[in-house]
Amino acid sequence: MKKSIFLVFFLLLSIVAMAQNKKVTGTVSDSNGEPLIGAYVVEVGTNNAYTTDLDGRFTLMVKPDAQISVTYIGFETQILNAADRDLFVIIMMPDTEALDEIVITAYGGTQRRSKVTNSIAKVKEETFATGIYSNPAQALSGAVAGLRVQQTSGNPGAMPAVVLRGGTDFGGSGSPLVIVDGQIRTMNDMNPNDIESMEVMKDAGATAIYGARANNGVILITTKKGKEGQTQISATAKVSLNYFNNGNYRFLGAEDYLTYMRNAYWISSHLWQNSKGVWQGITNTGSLSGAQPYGTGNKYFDNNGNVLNGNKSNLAVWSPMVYTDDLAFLLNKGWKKMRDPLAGLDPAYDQDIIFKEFMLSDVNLRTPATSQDYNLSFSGGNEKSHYYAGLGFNYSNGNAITNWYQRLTFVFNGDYKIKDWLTSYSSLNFADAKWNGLPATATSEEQYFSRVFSVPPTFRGETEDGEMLIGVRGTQDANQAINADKFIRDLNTDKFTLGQSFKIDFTKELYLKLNATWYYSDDKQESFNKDYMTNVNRWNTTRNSSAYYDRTLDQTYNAILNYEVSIKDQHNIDAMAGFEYYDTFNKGFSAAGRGAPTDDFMDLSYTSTEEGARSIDSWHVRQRIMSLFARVNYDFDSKYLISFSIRNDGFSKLAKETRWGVFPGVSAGWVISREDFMKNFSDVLSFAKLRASYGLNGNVSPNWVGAYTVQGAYGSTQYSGNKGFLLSILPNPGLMWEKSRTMEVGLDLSFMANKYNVNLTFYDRFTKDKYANITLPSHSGVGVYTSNNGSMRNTGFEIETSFRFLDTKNWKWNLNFNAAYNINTIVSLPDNGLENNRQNAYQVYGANGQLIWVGGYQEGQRPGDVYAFKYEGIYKSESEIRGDLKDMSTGNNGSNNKVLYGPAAWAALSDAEKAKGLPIQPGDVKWKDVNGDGVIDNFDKVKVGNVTPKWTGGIFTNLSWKGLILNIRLDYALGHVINDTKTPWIMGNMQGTYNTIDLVKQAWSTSNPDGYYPIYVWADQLGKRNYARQTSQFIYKADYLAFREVSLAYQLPKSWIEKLRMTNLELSVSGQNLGYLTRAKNVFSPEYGASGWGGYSLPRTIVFGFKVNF
Amino acid sequence: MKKIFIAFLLAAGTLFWSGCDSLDLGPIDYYGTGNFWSNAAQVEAYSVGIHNQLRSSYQMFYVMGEARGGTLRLGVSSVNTSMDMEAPIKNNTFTKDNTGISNWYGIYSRLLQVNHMIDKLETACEFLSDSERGHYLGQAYGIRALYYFMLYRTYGGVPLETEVKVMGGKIDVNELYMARSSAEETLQLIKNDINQSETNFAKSPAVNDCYYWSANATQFLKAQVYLWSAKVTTDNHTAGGTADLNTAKAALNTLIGKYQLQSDFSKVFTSKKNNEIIFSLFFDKDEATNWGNLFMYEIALFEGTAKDKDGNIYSKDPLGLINGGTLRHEWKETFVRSFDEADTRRAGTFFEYYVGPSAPYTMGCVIKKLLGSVSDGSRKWDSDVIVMRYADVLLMMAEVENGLNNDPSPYINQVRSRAYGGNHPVYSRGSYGQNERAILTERNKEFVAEGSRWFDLVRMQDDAKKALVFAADVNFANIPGDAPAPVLTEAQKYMILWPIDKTVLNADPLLADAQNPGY
Repeated sequence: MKKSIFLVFFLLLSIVAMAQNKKVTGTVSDSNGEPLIGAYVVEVGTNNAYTTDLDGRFTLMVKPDAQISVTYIGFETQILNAADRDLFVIIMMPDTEALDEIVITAYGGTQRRSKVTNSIAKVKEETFATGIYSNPAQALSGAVAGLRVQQTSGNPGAMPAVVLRGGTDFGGSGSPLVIVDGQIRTMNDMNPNDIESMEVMKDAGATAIYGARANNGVILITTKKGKEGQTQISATAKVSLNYFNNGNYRFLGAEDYLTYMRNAYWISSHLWQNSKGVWQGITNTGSLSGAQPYGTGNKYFDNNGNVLNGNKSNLAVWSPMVYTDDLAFLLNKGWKKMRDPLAGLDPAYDQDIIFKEFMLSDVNLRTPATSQDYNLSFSGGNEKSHYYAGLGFNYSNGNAITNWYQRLTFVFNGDYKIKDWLTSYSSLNFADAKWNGLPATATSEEQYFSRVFSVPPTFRGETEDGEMLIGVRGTQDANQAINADKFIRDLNTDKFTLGQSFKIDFTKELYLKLNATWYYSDDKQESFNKDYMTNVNRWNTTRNSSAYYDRTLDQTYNAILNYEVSIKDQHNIDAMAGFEYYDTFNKGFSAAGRGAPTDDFMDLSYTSTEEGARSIDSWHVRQRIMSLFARVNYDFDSKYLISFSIRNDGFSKLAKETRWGVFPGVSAGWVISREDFMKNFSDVLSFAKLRASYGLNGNVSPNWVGAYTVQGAYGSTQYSGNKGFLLSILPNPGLMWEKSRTMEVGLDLSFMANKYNVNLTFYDRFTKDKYANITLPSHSGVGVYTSNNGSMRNTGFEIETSFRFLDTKNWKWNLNFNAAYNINTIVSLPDNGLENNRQNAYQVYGANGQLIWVGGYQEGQRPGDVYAFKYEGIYKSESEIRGDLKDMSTGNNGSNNKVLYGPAAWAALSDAEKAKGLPIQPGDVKWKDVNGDGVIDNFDKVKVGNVTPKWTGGIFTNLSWKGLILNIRLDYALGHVINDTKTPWIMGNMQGTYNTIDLVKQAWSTSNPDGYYPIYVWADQLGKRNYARQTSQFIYKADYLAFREVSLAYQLPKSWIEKLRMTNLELSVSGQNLGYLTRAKNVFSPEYGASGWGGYSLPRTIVFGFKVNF
Repeated sequence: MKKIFIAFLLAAGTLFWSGCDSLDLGPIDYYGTGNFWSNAAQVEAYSVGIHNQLRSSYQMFYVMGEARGGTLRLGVSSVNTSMDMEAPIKNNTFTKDNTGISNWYGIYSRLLQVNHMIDKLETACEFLSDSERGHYLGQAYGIRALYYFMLYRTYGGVPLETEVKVMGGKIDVNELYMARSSAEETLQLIKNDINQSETNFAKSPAVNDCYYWSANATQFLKAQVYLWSAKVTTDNHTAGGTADLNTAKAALNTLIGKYQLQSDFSKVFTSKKNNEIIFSLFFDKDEATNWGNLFMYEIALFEGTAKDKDGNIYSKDPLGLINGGTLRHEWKETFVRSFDEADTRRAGTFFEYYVGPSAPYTMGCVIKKLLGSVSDGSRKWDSDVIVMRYADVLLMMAEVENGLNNDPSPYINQVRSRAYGGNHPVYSRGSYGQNERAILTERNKEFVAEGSRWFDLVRMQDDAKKALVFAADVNFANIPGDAPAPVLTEAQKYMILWPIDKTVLNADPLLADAQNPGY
């Protein structure tokens, strides 16, 4: 029966086709007359399709009464009637930008921009196009209003911190949840080229559907998929040169170093004279003739006349020596000669010094470093199936020697319509990352770029035979290059996401989607130390070897029921309900040993079996979350919009009684421009929407609550070879969710046929039951205890604008600008019986000399205020110093906190009393005496700013003329300060032998009485703490404008590349991280969160790009 | 189709409700607070943990008990490195802002663990025998007494925490605030704890492993406490005199003869667990190392600069430190020179060298008691930290006898005899004050770097029973040739007790006005 019906049907069909088909032809172009290549022309309701050729032409055999549909990405689809014509000239109109873009929402939902009632920002694909990034977060600076991206490390593998709307922690941290194709993960090791769209969901109306983990917002990333009718091969290649860019840091050359350092020693040993007329100070001049970097006791020959080797003898590490004629031959080897800078001060120094200059940065920096990035992708699709496969490779070198990052990624997304009612989706996302950090002997980025580079320039650097020298301060401050190849590090992570989904269409309106995702994150690390030099003539032969393996498997299963209906074209309902089960299990083991007989193999089996030489460990952590959720979007005539969502989450981290939480969200919009009374203004105001949202989110931040924290713990210890236990975590079963409720109102406006768009949003996020540490009294034995007794508020305002100034055939010019203002306020803290329930606050003098509590956390205050002793200039003469002044402040960097006295007070002291203090003298800083009592103590501090920026944002502009495209991306932050702790350490000579920077030339001295910086002495922390205290002189206003990216691209004319069967060929050159416009020039980065101790600055990068599509 | 839908709903519902239990997860690799204190092995391991913590406090003996004592060099070291703790500790310039140490030196977090152990031993752990319970309680009370004794000698009366109030799962900070107890109350708690420790140890057979607190350690501490109580007046505690001295004597008598002096002084520090040691803290390269490097010369600054006593420059690291130190603590030249050349304690304690451009050179020194060991081509700072040893028993006995108006000289001479290898200058009894000075001098030489000197100065007295901390002649000048000044002047008497740091005072309203007087 079935068979015969089919046969009849087939016959009918072929008869119809044979008898009545007709040929239609045409061209497809854009409004400027440019042909659109690859536009998809299909006879509606069939598989009969054609893709336009290089001239935008198509030919199709269709039924006489057929309709044809023309689609092209970025343009409005057109459906045309073929019944009465055979020839078509089709001009495609661009999709009205922004307003009609499709926004992706939670759990696979989509919404047209004009109907969105929440703050959901879309990061455009081109954001990732021209620069070179090892992960997508690096490209987000300034991209989204309210999203603060902190790029504070130039390590190519670094992951910038991303914080939305000020974060929900008192300290201003808290990162959005990142969801990639439905799977929670990080942006680490993601290939930006695989991203089709990235939406940043900011308000709780949108994120409540993610419930318990979403109070810091959600970043939703969708990877590329194949598209119907577009078959494409795309290849890109980028190569970059990365130049080291360390701001104002210019260390002194050897001659300047000797001059300033020898003088510093002299000054520090001649601070005052005792009653016998003997000079006293905080050091003596003995070492000036010793075997020191600034001393003249170094040797070239030993007593027998042999040349000394600086890796064997401490006497031949540094170069300065008293010049004698038998050393004259060195002058031909690049050594230099100078008069001892102390020659006029003491006849003992009436001598010439011969020395050699060697800058450690010359051998410990790689500039320019190179990076490479390649991508190859294939995609295609038809009505039944879609296919995308992408392969990416990135290899980036850092400016520090040995520092590199390599990423290999592969993405596959495919789907197939198995039955009318059943579609299968499969995906695979794989990322393999390998990297190496700084040389293993470097203790941190801060140290590498400050301490190591400040090793004195009188270092000989190499032996007579050209062998590299290590230096004398162990490995951390040594020449890092010398041991770089002794540390074998094999660091590798692999991330796999395996996804399988089925979509069951019950009816046209109702479908069910079942998803299962497994996400493996594997981390493998092996290390092995070969024998390495630790100091002059000293070797470490421990041969430590270790292996570490860690795996986390995240499993997500969910089922989502979707119902979408439009009644009478006026009532549009889109409803969804779902269930989700999430399980994450982390396990791993590590083993380490030492004492292998040789240093040739890292295999652990060679390590010594002696007691204590080997160690092993394994660990297991499991967490689960179970959730139910639902969402309804309803609109009437696209004019009145309302959306409601709810989620119920249960989290294994919390105790049974507090485990379940409900998180609702609601939002509404009113498209005013669709009202009749607005029609008259539609020429000018093309779109206007007022929106508001309210929602509740939760958070159980792992920074506060680990998998089993609430259950308390006894941690293991060891003593005398026995394993022991101690109470390590207090039980905390009462801990609940943090709850954030966000309210916002916004206005979306478009003018002049959507040429100019403005979005304004005001928000207020109030986090209650906030995790807050109760500071316990010291004698309770515990410093802090986590409670839900805090609350805080983020209040802010965001504006996003886009302007299309020019849009002609040859010229196009767009400008996007965004700005976000945010203030965090602490609303409440756990009751501790103190005023404002303050925590870690301290007292300073207020305006009337009374003591006030500042700093730390206090109710009603904004966290992050910085107080410091106020620099009011440098004393130029003794007469400017208040006679009875006493400075009883305490300093930093190991200050010995001697009491400092004004001239009259000093004169009144006995020698013994003087030995415990120091006189205030010309060249010292004049500190503000806030209460005017003649005593500088720790209360004499003033507010100098706040560490968190108030304003952040970005500017993006795109100008093109024919195939030539110029993109500029800038971002900025305003209103924060940076506390530079490194510069005072260097200029305060606090290490005692190290080099300083050329700002020392602006320091006060007898020959530079107008100097801005205090006198340069040896070990300021043992002296008068001009540098070694919290000083306003080194706390900078760090407002900045970053020149993040400037790129120029050229698309070759289509007529040139047609013959090569290409559809696009683009060449580009970009400058990335070109620099900052800022007053904070002495820090390596003015960005919020950058360490005041210095660090790894972002390299100034030039990228050459090549892109071709077939 | 409908059936599939219903089946799905049923399946989801079942999964959900049955899945709720699957959210009950507990730690897989360690004990949560719900499943500890359930067998004897855990109690044993907790005792190990308590000792681990005591070891991590090892620096307190030097910092609280010695650094202020006037023997440590001020200014820069002999090789021009800066000195740690110079102000306010080593030069006694304490102020309210400059307190030297903070947060009660972290001792209360140790006390929390000890209090927790006492609580569990006394209210739970039914599985323990009386003997086992006695042993662990003896340890716990002994160690608690030691911690409070360190606090008492440093601050006087302190908040007396004896219960654990932070384990309840919910904390109201207002209930944790606690004022300082008086000096007398604090001392009484210490004495009670010692009594508890003694009584409990009596229930179990003696275990003598010098790495663990023992009944003998309790007797040693008891002697220290009662000697202090007998001689030092602090706030409302008035020096107790004879009764306390007799108690101390009884405690010391339980130790006399149980241990013996090493024949070679330097062996005390180089051979671990020798029979002079009553209690010491275990260090080992693979388990824990200490701060010995801060007492050693820095090779780069030493080689090519330092000289032997004949003026020859050292071109090699003479102690074989391999990886050198940073020399943050050095003893005064005048102090080193106060030792006889013939006294083996001089060479056993110090490595002496000389610096300066020309003769007469100035002396520098590093301490040999913390040299550690060498393995795999590098030095590991793993010397044990000795807390109690027999020489101290003898010298305490001398002090007790002197206080009781008996002859202290036999005990002094016993210690001297070992120091000089037999041929020693014999001490004969003098006046009370002369005897005290002689004992102090002996203690100075015996216990360098062992955390004794400052406490000795506060406790020991001249003929007028005034503390020797005010006596110039028992102090040492920083620069050779200068006249020594007393460690504290009479006007600085308040400074015998340390100031309490602002952070502590600010964090507890009941302590807000509880700063020690004078600051």
